[in-house]
Amino acid sequence: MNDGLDDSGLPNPDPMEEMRPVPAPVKGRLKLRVVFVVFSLMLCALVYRLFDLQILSADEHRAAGRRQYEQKVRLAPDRGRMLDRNGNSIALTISRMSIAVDPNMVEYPDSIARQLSAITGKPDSVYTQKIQRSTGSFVWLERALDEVHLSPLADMKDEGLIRTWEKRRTYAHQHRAAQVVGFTDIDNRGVSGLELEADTLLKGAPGYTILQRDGRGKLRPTSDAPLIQPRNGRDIQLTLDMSMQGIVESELLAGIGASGALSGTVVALQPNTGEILAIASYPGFDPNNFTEATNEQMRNRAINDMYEPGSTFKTIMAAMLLEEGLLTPSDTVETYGGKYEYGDVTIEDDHPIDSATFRDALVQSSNVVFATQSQQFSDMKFYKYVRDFGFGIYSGVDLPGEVRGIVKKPRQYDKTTKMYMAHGYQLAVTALQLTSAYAAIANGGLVMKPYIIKAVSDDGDMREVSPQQIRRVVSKSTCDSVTSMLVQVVKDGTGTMAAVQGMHIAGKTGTAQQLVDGKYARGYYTSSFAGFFPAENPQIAMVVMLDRPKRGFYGGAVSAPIFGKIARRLAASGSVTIDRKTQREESQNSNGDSATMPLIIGMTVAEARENLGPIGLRLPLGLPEGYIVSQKIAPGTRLAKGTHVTSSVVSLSQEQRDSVLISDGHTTSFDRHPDVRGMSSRYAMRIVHELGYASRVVGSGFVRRAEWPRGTTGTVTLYLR
Amino acid sequence: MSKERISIQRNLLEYFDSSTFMLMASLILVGVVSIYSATHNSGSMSSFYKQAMYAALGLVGMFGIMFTPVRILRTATWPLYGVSIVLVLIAVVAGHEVAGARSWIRFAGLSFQPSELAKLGTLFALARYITRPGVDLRTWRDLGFSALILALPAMLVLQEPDFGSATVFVIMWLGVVLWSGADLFLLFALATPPIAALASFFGDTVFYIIIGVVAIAALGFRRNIGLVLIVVALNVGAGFSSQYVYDNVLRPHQQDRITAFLDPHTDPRGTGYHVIQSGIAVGSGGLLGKGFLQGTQTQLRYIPEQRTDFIFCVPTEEFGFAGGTLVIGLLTLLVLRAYKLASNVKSRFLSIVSVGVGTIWMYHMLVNIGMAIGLMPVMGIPLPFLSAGGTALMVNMMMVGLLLNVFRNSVDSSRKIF
Repeated sequence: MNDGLDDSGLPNPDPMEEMRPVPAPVKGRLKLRVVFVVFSLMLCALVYRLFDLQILSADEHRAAGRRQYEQKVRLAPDRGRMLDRNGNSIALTISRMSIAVDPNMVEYPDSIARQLSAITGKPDSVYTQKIQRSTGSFVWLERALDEVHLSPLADMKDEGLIRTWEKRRTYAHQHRAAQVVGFTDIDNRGVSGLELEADTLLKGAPGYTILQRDGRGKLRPTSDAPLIQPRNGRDIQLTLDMSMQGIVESELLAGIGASGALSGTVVALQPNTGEILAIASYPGFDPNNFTEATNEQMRNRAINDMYEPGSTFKTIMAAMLLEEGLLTPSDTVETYGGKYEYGDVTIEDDHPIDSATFRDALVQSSNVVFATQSQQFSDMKFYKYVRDFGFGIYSGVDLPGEVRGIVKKPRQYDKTTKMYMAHGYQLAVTALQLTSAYAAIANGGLVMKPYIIKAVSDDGDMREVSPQQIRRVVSKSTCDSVTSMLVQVVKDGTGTMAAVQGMHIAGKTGTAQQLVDGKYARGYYTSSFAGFFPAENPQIAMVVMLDRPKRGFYGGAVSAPIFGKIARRLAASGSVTIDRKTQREESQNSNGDSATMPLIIGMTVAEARENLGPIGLRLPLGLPEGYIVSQKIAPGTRLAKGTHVTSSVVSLSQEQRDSVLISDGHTTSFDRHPDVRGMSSRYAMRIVHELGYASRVVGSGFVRRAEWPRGTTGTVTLYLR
Repeated sequence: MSKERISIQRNLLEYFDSSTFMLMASLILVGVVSIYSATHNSGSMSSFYKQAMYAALGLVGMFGIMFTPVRILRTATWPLYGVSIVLVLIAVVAGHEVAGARSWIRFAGLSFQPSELAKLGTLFALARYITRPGVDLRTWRDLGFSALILALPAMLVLQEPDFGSATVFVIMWLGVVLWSGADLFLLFALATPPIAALASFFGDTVFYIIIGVVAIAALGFRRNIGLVLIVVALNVGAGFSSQYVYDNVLRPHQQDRITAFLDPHTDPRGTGYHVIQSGIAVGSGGLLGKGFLQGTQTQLRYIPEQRTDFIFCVPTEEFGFAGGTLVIGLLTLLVLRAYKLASNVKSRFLSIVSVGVGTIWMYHMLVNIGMAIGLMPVMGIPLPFLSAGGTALMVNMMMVGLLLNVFRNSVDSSRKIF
């Protein structure tokens, strides 16, 4: 091997090579230069590459870095609370903890299982097995626990224990007013009811912060992270009175149980403002478990459903006739012997009356009189009045899904349209519209817009929503006349079951046959009662509407008692203030040797004593504390004063009482057993179970017969059809 | 009398190569600071303390070697060579496995990487052999014998397997034999085939251009046409066998490293992860960096093994282009210093050792920094004086000790070196 360019060097045989000058610098200059150039080129490549990365494309790399380490974290706002008119929480947001573990990392699985078991009451093994069986690196143990902050789990140190806080909407009153309140989805967005309607007020605005995500995917807080605080949602105060709502719902439930109706609704308004005090629909649901609710249960029947009102609409007709001066209450009207034929149309009265005043016609609810009198109106005037009372148009209530109802336009009228509408057919209304129309009469002829959001918070202050006057539809004097007629309906007419001792109630019954397959069918009724009280100083206008009651169908028989019981309980609870004078008059009326037995089922023993005392009846001493489930003396029975009234008492918690209905119509021969015949199997079973029996069901449908065991325990067999 | 003492004192200072020492000290300082930054929030600072401790220990070794007479160093050559080979053998047979390679011996709680010591031992052996009277590297026989000296430890290291360190032996040998009279054509013949092999992965066009350039350059050496043809054939062969070697010889992790080098984004969360993350770290540094302990890639620990093989990301991310060029500059000066000392020292043995030391550092620097910035495939080659690792740091400081020794021996002949 020979270096062609540099051949000056020969091996030096000098044994003392240490002393010999190094040959390379002398002989290998070119070689050195080549190596030096190669080295320099490589260095230049390094530095250029560094320059390229760090100066020319620095922004690109910074962006790439930021993309992977910056994590924008949404900070959820607190959803606004929903309060009732007295400031009680209805819907609120509670932070709850969910517990998960990483089975590969977890250090103290047994301890975690034990702590969870202490909270939930499930056995430890549920959790230990979940941990053992999991093959992944994440397994939920419990979600949305309420009381973790009290448990050692809250600050337990374990690498594999994963705790996350979740904000969950909670409904303090469960079923109560559920259709009105509605609910939110898992992301706290309003889905139904007020949660949906007022979502923009309640939801607030989220904030965010930017955290750093490290190479292992863990988030790290940084001291200088930008932080935009979330803006919490506004609280809204409702016009609802939750204690009133509770009374309304329990009475509706009881009434539905007693009548076997499919569904029902009650609306209570404050006449002079239009505030909705209570609004109940049956069947209902618990918004805390909305996933289990059916569409039927979620309907707000007071505004989502419409009905033909039947005779309750005669009140509106009466007001129209009086307002137009076409009649006065004392005018004599033609009754046609209770049967009026017009072309091929026949209109009949259930209880034919002979000669009568207009007042009698309303008190006895004569279809014939109202049908014939309606012909005095021009189509246009008739239509205008109906519209002005609020039928066929949206009330504008601040709840979602309101329907308008159906009111024919004058050009759609035929010769009989007004005659039918006059007694509540050929038009469809919502319970809210009907309540609002009655409230207008109670309010001296002024229609108020019904509303449910009473106030909205604004930086800590509550801003009140003002009541809104829509229009005057009839005069104050017309209203006074109508009111006095309605008071008589309850006193002597079809509405006596709504009567309350010590208070004048103005009201009207309604029983409308339902259209089934295009024909008005016997056996399918909408039974309602509409009215307001106290008549002298109306504070509540209310409608009770039941769909297809099975036992008794007259509004006066099934809806009026519900109305009456609600009115009585509201008066007893002080929600309604009664004129002293009225109270005195009323008690004078009952002065004498006899007293009328009131309905005491559903009252507590103490309430029953309070009610019976003033009219001279007594409960035996020594009754246990609890609620009265049956009474041996039927309501309405005349009794000598001083009679001891016997009752069965069962003790239930308030909650049970709200969900368990109380049977009516008890007979002596079934002393210990309530009569469950005609009830739906579900109701019957509830009662049976509540009394401590087991149940067996044969067949399907409604209870035909019940076989009770001897003794106080055992199985009740329910035969259905 | 007093005049004499002054002159002795002055001589003591003059015998100490403070430039080399300061360069080394600066690099170690940058390294320790970088290790601190990379580990201070990881929960364990042991790398930082260990590095500082080994730096102190290394000073002892460095000064020890500085004052050891050349005669003794020469004498110690074969024992050193023998012991280091035995240690590598122990590592191969019973070593502690880290990341798939048995490169470590664990003894009494301490870890030791024998391949680092073997570099020094092999360098001594080469120097000793080459300086033997009558050895002429221009002859095939002596060149081949010198290759055998390197082949033994290199093959053993390859068995660990530690491909990166094995290449260090080859490069060191190349530097030493070229310095000691071997033909430049040798460098050319050995260096071009790997380039051709790598080029073959970039497609046919790139490969044929490289082959063309190699052929023209080979002709430029004006050697006999047979040798030229052999070199060109080696290159073509390397190119055509590269796929075969890739498929059948390389281990999966080596295949991944080459794939990741060619296009890191084919598997950004797997094999390309290292390359992409270090690219982001270096690139986002900018001109002056994000500041000490402010590098997001470093502090959020996006770069695995950062304190060892990817330490270069720390000064570049936190001190930017300035930090990166400082490190390159310091290392380059140190390498040049080694070559300069090699040219000035009278002892041929020391001259060769100096060249070997410079070559090792240069190669480490080019490969390590190259892989951190995506110019080279990932190889487990640490950055001298900066990467965490006790054995490597101590061996590097011993190499500095050798340079100081060389300076001490060359003061008489040439006072002014720079």
